Amino acid sequence: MTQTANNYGKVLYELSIPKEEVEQTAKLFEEEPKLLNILQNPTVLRKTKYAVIDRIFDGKMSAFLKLLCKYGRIGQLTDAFIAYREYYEKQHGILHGQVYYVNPLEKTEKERIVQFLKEKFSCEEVLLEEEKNESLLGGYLLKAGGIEFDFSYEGRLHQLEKKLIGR
Amino acid sequence: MSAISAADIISILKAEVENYNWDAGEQEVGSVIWVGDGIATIYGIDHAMYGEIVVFDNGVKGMVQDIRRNEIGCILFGSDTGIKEGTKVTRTKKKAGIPVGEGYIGRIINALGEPVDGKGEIPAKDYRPIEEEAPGIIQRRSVNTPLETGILSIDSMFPIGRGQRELIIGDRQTGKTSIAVDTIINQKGKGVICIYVAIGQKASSVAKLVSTLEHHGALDYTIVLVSTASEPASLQYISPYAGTALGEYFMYQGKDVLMVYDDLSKHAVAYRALSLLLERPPGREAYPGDVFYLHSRLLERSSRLNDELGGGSITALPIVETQAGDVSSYIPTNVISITDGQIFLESDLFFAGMRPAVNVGLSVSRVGGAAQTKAMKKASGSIRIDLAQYREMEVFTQFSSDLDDNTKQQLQHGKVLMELLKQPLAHPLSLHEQVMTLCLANNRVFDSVEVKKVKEYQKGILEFIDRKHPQIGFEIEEKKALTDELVEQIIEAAKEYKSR
Repeated sequence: MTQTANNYGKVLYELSIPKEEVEQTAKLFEEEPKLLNILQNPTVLRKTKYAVIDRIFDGKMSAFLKLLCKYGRIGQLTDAFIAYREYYEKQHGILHGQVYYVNPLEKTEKERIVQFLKEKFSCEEVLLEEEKNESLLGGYLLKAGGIEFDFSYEGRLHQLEKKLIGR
Repeated sequence: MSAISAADIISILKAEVENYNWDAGEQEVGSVIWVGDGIATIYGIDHAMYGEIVVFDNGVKGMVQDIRRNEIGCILFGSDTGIKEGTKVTRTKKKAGIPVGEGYIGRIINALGEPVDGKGEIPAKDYRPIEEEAPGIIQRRSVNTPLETGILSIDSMFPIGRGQRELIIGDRQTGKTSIAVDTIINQKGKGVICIYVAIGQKASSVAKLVSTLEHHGALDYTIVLVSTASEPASLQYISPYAGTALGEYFMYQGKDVLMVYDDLSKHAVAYRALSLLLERPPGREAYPGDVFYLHSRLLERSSRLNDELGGGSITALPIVETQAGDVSSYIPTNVISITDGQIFLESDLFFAGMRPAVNVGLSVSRVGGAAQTKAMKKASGSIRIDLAQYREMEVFTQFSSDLDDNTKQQLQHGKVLMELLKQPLAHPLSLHEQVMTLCLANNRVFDSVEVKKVKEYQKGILEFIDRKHPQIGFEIEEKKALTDELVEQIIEAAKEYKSR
């Protein structure tokens, strides 16, 4: 992802277009790759592109897409959507976390994890993804914000091994 | 040691496990997205520092060398087998460093400070970062103590002081390493700790060098740090810095250290390989833009500390190999401009039998003069000029056979001087031997001897004076000065030797 895509993602957020509308647009472009191909195609006149955009979108979204066409940055639209999501989550204090477990976690345990992450990263909301991983032997492994919290048996064995062989 | 039974071991282990404090295992981790040629690109470690050590899941360590928007580039300090896409990488939050201590003296280690001589583990006293800032202006003092190489041509004309950086430069097979090794051998009993850093060399040459040092008893005060040609470029790249970190440990204790970097052209090549793999833009001869900084920051760490800091020093003898005598190519010019002088070795001289093959005209020592002893300064006074005159005259008189007596005498004197400057390997001359030789040469004592027999005559006369008049040598070594009376005594002794 380039800095340009980052900038456009940020601008998209600051235009205060409802999130649903942005997501809908992103979905549309994903489902219909032809649309992006046409908008990217240099042999298609800008006027024609504008007409296509006006037919499908309206308001600020239409203006945003036209701007991207005008400066030849429409190719970075997909990255701009990704940057938008990242920026949106940062602004709203949303944190993504992954938890790997051997035995499914109980509700109270999950709540405890969420509370722990909220305090640790001072965020508003935690979106927890769960995944089963037998190789952990027991306990669970938590990953969020680039940091790993290892409460698994496998990790503890590893710690013990390190201590005993002194490395 | 009393025997420990299996049950005891089990109970010790049980107690250890029961009392073990589990931490949450909080670690910053990322995963490998690309690996190859000793380089790994990692995604997910957001806060890595430049130069930080990261550990891969299989235990191999890496150093962060490139920080990009979403990923970091690492050089691996080991084999990349077992590292694949998705391998977990953990931050250590520590900068690359090397364990140091007195135990390292007399040992052969690799760039990570691990012993490679099979003599067991080395007890470490401390841990020093391999990249350390050089001492500042206030912390330094000027060079004032000589570091004797024991090689007459160098000590008389291009003296090296403790804390100086003197480049040894020349083509392949001109005796560059030999000069460095002779210098190490000559430090015996002089309180200098020597560190020899072999970068990208053949393991066989290093083995030969180690046996030479061992043979002369020089390994007792020497550390050999090896990264052979078969080791990854990353280890070759860090080895001179690691060696210097080890040297600094001793320097800050007030000791004198001699560092030999053999050689920096191979170091630059290793860094070029890394830089190109890290996709840094290539510059002249495909070296990256910071290849000057690569060597300047290394050699800047060699210094003489002031008395408040203990007065220790690091003297550096970097070695650079030239191609076909071309000193104006990229790396040689860089290192020449960084160092405080150079000893230029020439293959023509080498094959003409002039060994060490020092080119007197192109070699220079910019600060060593201040460190030269009074005795040596007085004795070596006119030798450079005499040699320059001889070289000029030699070319002039090549075609004419009819020469006047004065010219003939000057030619003979020049030939004798050239002969005296020849010195076999591992035969260092002490200060008084050098001073006496030069004193006798200046007083034309050797001029009457047949050129071929000059070395033999020199050996005989030095042995004779040491045996019959030991007080002369003793006084030179003690007072480090050459008085007129001493000169007379030396000449008298020479006359005595001749009339035997």
